[in-house]
Amino acid sequence: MTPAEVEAGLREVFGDRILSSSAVEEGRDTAWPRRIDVAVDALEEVCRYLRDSQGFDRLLCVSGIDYEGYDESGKGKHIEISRYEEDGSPTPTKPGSGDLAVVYHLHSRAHGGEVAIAARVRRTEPKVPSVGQVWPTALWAERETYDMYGIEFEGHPDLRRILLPEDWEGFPLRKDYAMPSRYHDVPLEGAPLAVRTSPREVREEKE
Amino acid sequence: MILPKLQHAPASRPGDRARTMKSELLHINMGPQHPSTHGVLRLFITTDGEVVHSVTPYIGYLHRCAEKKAEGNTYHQYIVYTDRMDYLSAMNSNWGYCMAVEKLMEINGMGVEIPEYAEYVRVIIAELNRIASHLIAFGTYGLDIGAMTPFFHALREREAILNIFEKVCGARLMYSYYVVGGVKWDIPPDALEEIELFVKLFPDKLREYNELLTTNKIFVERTANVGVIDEDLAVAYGCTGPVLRGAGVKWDLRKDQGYSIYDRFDFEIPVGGGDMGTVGDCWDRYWVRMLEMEQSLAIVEQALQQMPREGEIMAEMPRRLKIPNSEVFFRSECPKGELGFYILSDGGDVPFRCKVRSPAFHNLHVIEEVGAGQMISDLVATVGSLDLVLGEIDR
Repeated sequence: MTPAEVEAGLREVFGDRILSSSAVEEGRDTAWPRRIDVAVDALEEVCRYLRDSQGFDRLLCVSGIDYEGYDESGKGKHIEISRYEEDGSPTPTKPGSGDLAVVYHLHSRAHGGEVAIAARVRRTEPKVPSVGQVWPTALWAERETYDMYGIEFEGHPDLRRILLPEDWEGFPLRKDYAMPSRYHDVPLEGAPLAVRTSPREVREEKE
Repeated sequence: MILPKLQHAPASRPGDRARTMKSELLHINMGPQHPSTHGVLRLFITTDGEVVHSVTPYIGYLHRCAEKKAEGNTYHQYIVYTDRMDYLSAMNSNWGYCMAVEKLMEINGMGVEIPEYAEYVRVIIAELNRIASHLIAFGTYGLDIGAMTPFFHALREREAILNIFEKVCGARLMYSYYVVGGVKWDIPPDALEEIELFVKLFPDKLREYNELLTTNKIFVERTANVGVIDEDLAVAYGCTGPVLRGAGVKWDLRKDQGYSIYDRFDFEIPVGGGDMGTVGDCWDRYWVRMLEMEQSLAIVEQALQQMPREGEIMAEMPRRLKIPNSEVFFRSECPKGELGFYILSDGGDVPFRCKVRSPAFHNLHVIEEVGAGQMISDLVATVGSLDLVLGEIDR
């Protein structure tokens, strides 16, 4: 089954809740495998339909994306990653306003087709239905996405951080993430050892 | 000498003890420093006596922000970070990433054609690395179960492979040998001779391993019918690689997706058949790895025969790679399973987003399902049979 047939089937069932899809333009593909953007409220139904009627029995990967600073025109300016200054303080960052997105890569063992399903959400309200009931493997993948992007998966039975400590603040893979200067009173600055605050200074600072 | 007066416990009535004894679940931390967790994996286990009630893995102790680093490094610079993911098969990780970038270039109409000679070099080195990775899996699995000798035998042969890699690229663990468009160095003649010698000698060693461990009575008792992951469970939990094939699913990207030049070689996809117990038990996963080593060796042998005497090792590449707005998700068959790279570019010289689909991450997830209801010692056998590398799980 080709991605075009998959998309045609989806459009027939879900109509305008299928928002857009990547396509061949000017002799080049914009996505491989084809990416189909769907409305957030239709996501779970779309996934169920793809599994039951189109034979997509394997979920390969769940990836989050932060579109803050994404250049549609293709100039691709370099986005400064938050890091530490010479004196060890984190570089300040501006709060972002771009959308967040979740992309699901699916594969079918029956007909060998691959397709990507994506849902875009507002940064102010990052909520996406969980597909853990459709493919159990999504449970951990969604936890990772939550950990890194702060996207909440509604209906997930156990949405906790997975790679970072449970009391970590912020979502590191967001483009506007600011590095913390300390974690549990341990300085985290990336400055070389010589200019790092000595324990005595830390003690004095506390007093 | 006056002996202290013995304090006798007050006489107890029958039934006293039974009344005060409570039966409750016991919480145990296995790891993060534990000999059988293959790295820093922490399993939080609730046990009912000797039986495991539930298992919760805690990961992230090796998290090194690999995905964030991708957003600040150019396409070429990121190759060294892929070494540090699955450090037992760094060549395969390098290759997976390079192929993903090559695919991204291809869909944008700026594809490069990898020279034929370089393709053969890539296949030979990757398959040797697969053997080295499976040797560690075989050796440490024996160690987990309590057999120490196989480990030394396995490391002895792995050493031979690492010596070859040292001659090829100068490094023994972190190679960064593959680059976008080819490989970095040619295989020197003496390394080629060593590979030929290895291909000649290794089948004998495999026989030795099988005599040592595979059919050993204690080993079979410990692994057969233990930790059964059947087809439905493996597919639902996204298991790949030997874990999926051990469940009897004939699925290998090298054959089914046919990337690189794998269609030119004649090789089998070994699957678990439940020879010692149930399909998908620990012994099956172990056996699939042993058979895969044989197949990898066959591929290396054929590649050495078919390979042109000399040729280009790298295609013409732009020095500064800039890729227009597009995205790609490319998977390759690594020793642990399907390693995928999802790269999103927006025209700059760095990826806008690079997500790594780690095979061991999804293979570990299934332990929550399989581990419950087992004996503690069987849990060790099951974790070992998944062949986890925490560097790749945590990235």
